[in-house]
Amino acid sequence: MQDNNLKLDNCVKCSDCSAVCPVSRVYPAFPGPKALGPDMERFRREGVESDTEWVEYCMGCHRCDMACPHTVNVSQLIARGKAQHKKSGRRALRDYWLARPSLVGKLSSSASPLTNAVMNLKPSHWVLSSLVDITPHRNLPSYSGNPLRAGEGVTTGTRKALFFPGCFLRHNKPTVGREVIELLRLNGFGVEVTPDVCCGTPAGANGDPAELMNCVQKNVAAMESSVNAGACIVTACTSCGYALKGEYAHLPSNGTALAAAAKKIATNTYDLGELLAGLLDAGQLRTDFRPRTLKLAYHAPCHLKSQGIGRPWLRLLRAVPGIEIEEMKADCCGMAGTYGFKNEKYQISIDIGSELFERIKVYKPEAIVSECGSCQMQIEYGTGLKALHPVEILHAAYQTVQ
Amino acid sequence: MRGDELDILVIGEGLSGLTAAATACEHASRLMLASKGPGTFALGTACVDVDGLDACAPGLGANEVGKAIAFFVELTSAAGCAYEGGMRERRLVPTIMGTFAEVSLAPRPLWKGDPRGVNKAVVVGIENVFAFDANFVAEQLSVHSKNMGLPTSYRGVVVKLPQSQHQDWLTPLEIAIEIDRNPLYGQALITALKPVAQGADLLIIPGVLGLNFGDDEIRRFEDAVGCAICELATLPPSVPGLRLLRRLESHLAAMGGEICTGFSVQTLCMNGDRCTGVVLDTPGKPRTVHADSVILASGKFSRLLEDHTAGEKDASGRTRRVNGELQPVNSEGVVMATNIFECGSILGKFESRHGNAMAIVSGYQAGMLAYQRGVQYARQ
Repeated sequence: MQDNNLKLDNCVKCSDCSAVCPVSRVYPAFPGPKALGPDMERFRREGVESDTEWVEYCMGCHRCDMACPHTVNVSQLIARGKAQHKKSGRRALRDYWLARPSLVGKLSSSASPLTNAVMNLKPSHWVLSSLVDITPHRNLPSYSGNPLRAGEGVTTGTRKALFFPGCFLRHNKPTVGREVIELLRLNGFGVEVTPDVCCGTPAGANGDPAELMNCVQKNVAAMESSVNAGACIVTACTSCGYALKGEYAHLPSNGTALAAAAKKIATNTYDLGELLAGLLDAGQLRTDFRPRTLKLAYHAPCHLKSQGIGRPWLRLLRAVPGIEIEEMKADCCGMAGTYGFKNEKYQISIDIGSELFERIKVYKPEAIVSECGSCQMQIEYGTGLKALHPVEILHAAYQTVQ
Repeated sequence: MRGDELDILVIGEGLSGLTAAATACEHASRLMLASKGPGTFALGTACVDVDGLDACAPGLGANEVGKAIAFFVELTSAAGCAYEGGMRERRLVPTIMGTFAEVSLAPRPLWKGDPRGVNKAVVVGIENVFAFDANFVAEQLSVHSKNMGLPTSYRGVVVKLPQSQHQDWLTPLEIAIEIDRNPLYGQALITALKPVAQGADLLIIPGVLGLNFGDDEIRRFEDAVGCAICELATLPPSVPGLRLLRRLESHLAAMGGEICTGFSVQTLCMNGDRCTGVVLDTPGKPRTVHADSVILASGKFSRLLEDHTAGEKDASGRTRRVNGELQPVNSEGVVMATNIFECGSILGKFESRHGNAMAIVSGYQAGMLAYQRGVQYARQ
């Protein structure tokens, strides 16, 4: 935290951050990351009244952080503005729920398929839109009646992996979550699923620092002993992965036991692609793949880029004979988790994604793959094509599982 | 192919790093450019001055400089952000302070700003766009051109564009982004410029034509206005600088180079007199990238290899010691790493007006050497 406080002084106002911001690109009125981050932070620190709704329009993609030649933590500074921002009743209510996907998941899973059917009726859309400012244009993700449960997994294997599925794979796509377990098992891992606690990214994005810290504390407590016993943490959602690696390390105050434990969590977290590509490099990945002719488009999620691990899934899927896969190299998809579901941000979300949709349409793939559940939703919505987690392709490629 | 084993790793995304990467990429199949962000050239005018370079960098033959400059001209043309000029060319280009700078090469739109051969020039400002005062620029340029005995007259005009409803002032970058986003906005600028262009030989405007504008787009814009356009770099953020950065980045990616920005290099991994790779400061755990050759283009303030060079100045005022092959050497003149090649302002031995020229020349040389000495050695 100390380090991060001082980084503000590194800002030389070059505006390299504002030049790469996806929101600035499509929304001229948006003041941009330089203004909302380092500039406004000076006022916030002095206690000068500087609350502005604009902080809510930051998607948290971290492109500004990556563009800064002086390593200023621009998006963290904007997140502080979000944490202090006072919202109207309706939006506060909406954001309370959006900040808690795990709670929403628990409630919805227990009553699915009823919730799925009801939530996607036209009248429900209208109600959600007018009461809590959720866009009527999108269908809400459907919830599984059989979510991934804590402790689920396999006990065999020489190495131990603690699988942190995240709320989307746990509640909305548990089949994909189970394929992750199977892929790990096939490659020699014993797997255990972590308890149902959100990583905290949606809480941070919706300006709820208390809930974010709550998530950090619960997750660190749940995973610490396994990590101490030598297990690695595996994420298959890039936002969860970035949270555990990049955010947990700096959130608790320096010098506390929580900070030390969080640092250990951060160091031992692997993105699934990162882990498997590491095995591939070491010649330890099972490669008894069935050849398959398939043309795929790949979209790299922002939170994969901010992890700095390259594009592991491109290499993994290229190891399957017959798969043709190209990265679309477009900007952010625009969904940013809960962002694209908000009435006031829906159009921005679509405008940002249009570059990606266009590239996909030109490339004409049979399907699109991307590690992020929210990118998948946006791509399906924007292109009408099927968007998958790369796990689904790799899992299907193994001879043994089919 | 392993993920983290490269032929060549370039550290630094300034002009020298990008030039070195583009040079090496023609030979090396696995190349990564790692940086924590863009270099300073993206904030500037992007002009290059070669004149007198050999005097301040002895040992650098005209032949070497010529090859590097020719490569850069070809590179920028292929990347869609063409430069005009060359080794033996000199042009006067206007600045936003109303002065003329004498340069050897400049981005094509700026190159057109030379007053010679121009009778009537109009400096066009845009209302509520700050950091560019058209009347001031016109007044100053008139004085300077008169002092040089040139007949060129400059007139300042301010045009209006549809304003953003939410902001009183806009930066040139914001205008550029809006022109990229909304073709009607670019059309509005054309409509505003057309009457001003009547009877003029040259329009001088602040750098606002889209960030995504390449040579073709700028040419089409000029045709639509019906007059030659000279686009000046404004205060940071400089649209011409950012445009060059983006074009070179995409060109490098299209050539198969990987660009990894956002993470500082923590350390260089040394094994005897070879650098085996670098450690990048990625979240969670640092990422180690191995390479046969490493190009250090990390800038004037880089502390990488600091322990080895101690930082003291030698008689010629340079703070880094490299041999003729751009390899770092210690105070006894012994090569410290046979596969590290330094380029750009890390060499710290030239006047600031030669910064971009040295970046291009040393970047080109480092790119060639990294391939010839580093990669080929490793393959033996």
